[in-house]
Amino acid sequence: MMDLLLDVDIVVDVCSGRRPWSFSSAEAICKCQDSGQRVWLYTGSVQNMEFAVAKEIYNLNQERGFSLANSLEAARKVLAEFCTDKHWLASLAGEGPVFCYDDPEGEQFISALKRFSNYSIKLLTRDSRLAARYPEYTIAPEEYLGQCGAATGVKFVDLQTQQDRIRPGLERRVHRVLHHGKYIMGPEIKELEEGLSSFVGCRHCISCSSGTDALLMALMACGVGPGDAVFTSPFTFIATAEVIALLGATPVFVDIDPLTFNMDPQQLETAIQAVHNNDPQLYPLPGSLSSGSNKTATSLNPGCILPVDLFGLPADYDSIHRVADKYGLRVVEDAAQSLGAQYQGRSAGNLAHIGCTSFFPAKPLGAYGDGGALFTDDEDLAHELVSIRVHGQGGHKYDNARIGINARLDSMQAAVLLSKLEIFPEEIESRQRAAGRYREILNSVPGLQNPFVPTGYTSAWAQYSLLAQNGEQRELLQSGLRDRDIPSVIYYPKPLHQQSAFSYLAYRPSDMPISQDCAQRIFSLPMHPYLSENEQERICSCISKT
Amino acid sequence: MSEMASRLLQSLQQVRERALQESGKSELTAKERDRMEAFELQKELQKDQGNQ
Repeated sequence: MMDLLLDVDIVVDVCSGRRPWSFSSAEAICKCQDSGQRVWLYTGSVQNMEFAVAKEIYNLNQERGFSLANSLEAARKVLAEFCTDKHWLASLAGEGPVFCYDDPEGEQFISALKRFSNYSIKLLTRDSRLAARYPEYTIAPEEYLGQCGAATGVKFVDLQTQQDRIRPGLERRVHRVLHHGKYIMGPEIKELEEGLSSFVGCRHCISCSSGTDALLMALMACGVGPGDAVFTSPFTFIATAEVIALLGATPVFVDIDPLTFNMDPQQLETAIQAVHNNDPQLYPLPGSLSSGSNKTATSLNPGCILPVDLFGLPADYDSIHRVADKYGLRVVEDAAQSLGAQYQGRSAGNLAHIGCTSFFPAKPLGAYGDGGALFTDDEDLAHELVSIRVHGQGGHKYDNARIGINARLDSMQAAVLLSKLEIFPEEIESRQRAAGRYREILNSVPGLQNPFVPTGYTSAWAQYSLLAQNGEQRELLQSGLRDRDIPSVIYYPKPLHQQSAFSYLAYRPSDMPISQDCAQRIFSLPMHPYLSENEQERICSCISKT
Repeated sequence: MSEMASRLLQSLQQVRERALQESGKSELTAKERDRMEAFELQKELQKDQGNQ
């Protein structure tokens, strides 16, 4: 299947109602849309469209006494109606200089189509000359109707539908950056930071180059370094623990709660006591280290707590803060997946001394590249983070007050994020509805554990992750989904305490039994704000049958 | 013709008919007239090229 860009003659067919061509043109357009593909109109053709449609309406209605002016007015109204469910393809600068061609407008169309990959779009046209010249880029309505296929598969994350929704604003913002030329720390950065602060309900937002850099900067601001133990979850993406090791500190893994998949606060306290007392009998600690510059567990100092809001569900921060306060530790929230979630009336990202989030494209709020942000209510920490973001900058550009990194978000990504932030609250609502539909249907499937959301929490639903009874059942379910062109993903197949990168910590698989068990049984279903009820029914029916 | 296509054409026809009946536009503006003439010229040229 393919998208269709409409040549002006096709628009004239349908909008003027001229026969017999309007039939096959309308049929092709409807079939394209009905199969989930997009129908595009080219902004460069707007004037040709209105005059061509007006002329045709005039010709067809001349005997009834309507003037050309009446026809032009009617053409504009019909076009406005026709455009409501079409996508606008912007005309770009490179599509301007086409005057050397016999058919400048046709060349513009072809040039625009070349932006798309693998002939995923064709020009729907009756222009036989253009079709003869560019057969690979053009298709006639009758030919297209002969080729219509079935609907495409379900997407795991649907960024395309989201982009369709925000395209006009997105293009305006991106072009604005191209024109003002302030690619680093342009006006979009301040606007985004203000928007995010307001969304999260936090005094300070510091944007940065990635979620990983956000974590790194947060730990740097907390003064984490060699000899420090940073308590974190082993059931997450490696970035969380990686930044600890990068600073020469030691990740001390705390196993998860089997229902929420987040750090278990009771085990956290035991782990802190174990580090305090140098007693691995109390809780599994990094083993005796044979290589590297890291100190052994026996000489570690509790440094900081780094809980992860896995799959979008905040960790149990009341309990974590009780433990942190008792031992005088700072808490850094890894909210990479949870922006948009709520915990006891507060927003994720604002649940610790510093909150860190990621704008990786597949995240609930994602850029079109890497990006991240930090949140804090603490004036001093905010000041320090701003400095760390730019090489530890002090009073001026060449005054370096501390060791920092180069971690600025670029203006282009901020422009993308600003467009997405406008619809983010609605998207979170849509995710809630999709999660509710999954739960409603899948709760009745025996042997499957649905995600658990404790009272007073909401999840951002970065993932909808289920626990199968065992690895065999998971494989069976995933294979059934695959056969029906439905993607599913395992987050995460190997807990961090078992990663080769952390072999120097000498953890045993059985040290973190819940994480180990979840890694064998967990899998995630497609989840995004644009998941339709039909798609979810297909997914759930496949799971139920398997 | 499918029901969807038929509905599309029908709804556009209704908009077109209503717009024609209710049109209060008595004449083209100078700019519109210029563009329409240019458009007609363009069509003539295309026809000529097609005949050649």
